[in-house]
Amino acid sequence: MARFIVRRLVSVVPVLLLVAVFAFFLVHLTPGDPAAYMLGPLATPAQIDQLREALNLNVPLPIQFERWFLGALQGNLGESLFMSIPVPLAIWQRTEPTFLLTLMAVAIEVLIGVSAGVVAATRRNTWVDQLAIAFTSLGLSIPSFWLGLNLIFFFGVNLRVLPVAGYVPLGVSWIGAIRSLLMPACALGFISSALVARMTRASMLEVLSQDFVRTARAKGVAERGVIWRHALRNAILPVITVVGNSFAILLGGLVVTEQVFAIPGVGLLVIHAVLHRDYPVIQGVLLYIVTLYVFINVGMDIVYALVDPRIKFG
Amino acid sequence: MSVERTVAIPGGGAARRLRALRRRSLWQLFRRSRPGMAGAVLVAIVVGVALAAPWITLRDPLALNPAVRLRAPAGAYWFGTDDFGRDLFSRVVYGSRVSLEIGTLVVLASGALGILAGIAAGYFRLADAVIMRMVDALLAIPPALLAIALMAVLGARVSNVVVALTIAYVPQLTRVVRSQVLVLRETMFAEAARSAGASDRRIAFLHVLPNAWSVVMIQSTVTFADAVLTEAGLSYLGVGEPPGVPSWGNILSDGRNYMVQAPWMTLFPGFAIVVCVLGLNLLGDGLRDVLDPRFREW
Repeated sequence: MARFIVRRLVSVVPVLLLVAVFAFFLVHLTPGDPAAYMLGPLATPAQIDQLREALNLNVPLPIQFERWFLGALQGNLGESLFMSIPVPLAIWQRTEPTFLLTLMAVAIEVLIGVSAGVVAATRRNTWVDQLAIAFTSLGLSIPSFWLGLNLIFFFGVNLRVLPVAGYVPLGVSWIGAIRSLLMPACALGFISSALVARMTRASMLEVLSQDFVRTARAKGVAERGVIWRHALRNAILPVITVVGNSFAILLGGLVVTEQVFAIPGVGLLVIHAVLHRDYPVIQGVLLYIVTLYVFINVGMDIVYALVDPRIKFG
Repeated sequence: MSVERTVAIPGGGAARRLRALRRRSLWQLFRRSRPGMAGAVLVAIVVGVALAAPWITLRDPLALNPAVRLRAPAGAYWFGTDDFGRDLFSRVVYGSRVSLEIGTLVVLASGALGILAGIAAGYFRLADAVIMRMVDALLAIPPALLAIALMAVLGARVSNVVVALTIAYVPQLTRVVRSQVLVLRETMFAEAARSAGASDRRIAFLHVLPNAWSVVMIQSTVTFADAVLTEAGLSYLGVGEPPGVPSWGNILSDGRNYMVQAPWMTLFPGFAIVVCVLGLNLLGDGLRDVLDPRFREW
């Protein structure tokens, strides 16, 4: 088991290394001089020179990469051009709402996905089955920002039950924080629930045909107990992996959703960085989110291996 | 035995008949797939609207007319007008062209690159190591975030949207093609071709690729749907097409400041995106039902 965990952790290294290379070269994809491009047409030559110096643009490319990479390893990702604070600090300041939003969105995703999947599996090939799967598939086809706008219009403007936009920090009021994130979390959770629903359905169908389910029924366990206690417990394992993978939709959708609801999180930070050509921040957020995503998936795999004694990763 | 022999002769009359038969039976299978048919109808509607755009719209989607600003849908303005008095029906109809054009280009480009990279990875060990490490790294970046980061350096142009989305979606296709190639290159027919002296390249493109085609089709349909969705997101965020282009994302972006006064500005383009993407996703489900026996349960 320990060997599996170590191997899985080691496998992350080349991926993160390549993403770092990609993030570094991203800046060099700009047409012409990156420093001039970042500062815009109004910059003076002196300012451009200064930025070239700060970004190490005057030394050969391999040395640039070496300096940048060694810095990044120590958590030094440079300074935001627009906000004049170190990039890690900028990200850290924005982490709370993003973290909470992701957590709530995953909870809603699992809630919608697993219940739709179970309902579909237990009423296999009926209209209930098709409706449940169609409902979650709709999530794959709805732009998260459009869903968000409609939620704002309905719950925020018409019913006035939830705040229209913005974020109340946890330190101020945790109820306020949850209330301000409820709509965006629903939007995000819904769009990413389809894969969870499908996997739950397929896995449940497999488990429901097994002998121990028949045994449970035969000894008189109520149908509800059979499904939710006996079958689901055994069917939930492959779903864990899908939840890990769904973070790709979740973390990508975060950017747009935070913009729609004006939540000052990491997603909004990246949008501001893009609009202000603040490349150190874009690089930093890219690395930050990819690292998160990769380690979430490693974590899910390890949980999977720990929970299921049948799986032995040699 | 005799049947198999006739089938093995390419271009023979019997082979053609067999292919026609197979095509017909696939169509019959597809017709039975309810999601597939629903998707095909939705996609057909969107494509039809895009092709017929000049004939079904009355006004130029770009024509400004301040006299009729923010009109609600009524009379001559089926979808109402926006804050510049532009006809929203025309804009949404022409928006389908933008989305379909970008989606088509992304699918063609990522399809071509994904097939080449997938075959190279499936056939050459060295290429496999290099390509798959890169694919793993790109897959670790959420596609939407990757596209946003690329647009930030490339600049807001339609061609750059295609480039960014292609880079974002090519890894998935590469992985799918590679896994098919790895299976198919070990099949009997590939081995037969090899023992007959065919080169790797000939086997890869003439024997392996045609058999991987169905999987490429399914993945391409899904990629098309994702590309349309992400493109709308990019232009909504202001990093997609330049503001003037009547794309669905741009129209939505214009409308978000008028949510209360003019909800139709966001309602119709959003609805159009859902119809288009849902159609493509359902079509993908239908194709999967028919072409991929592993998923026939669904």
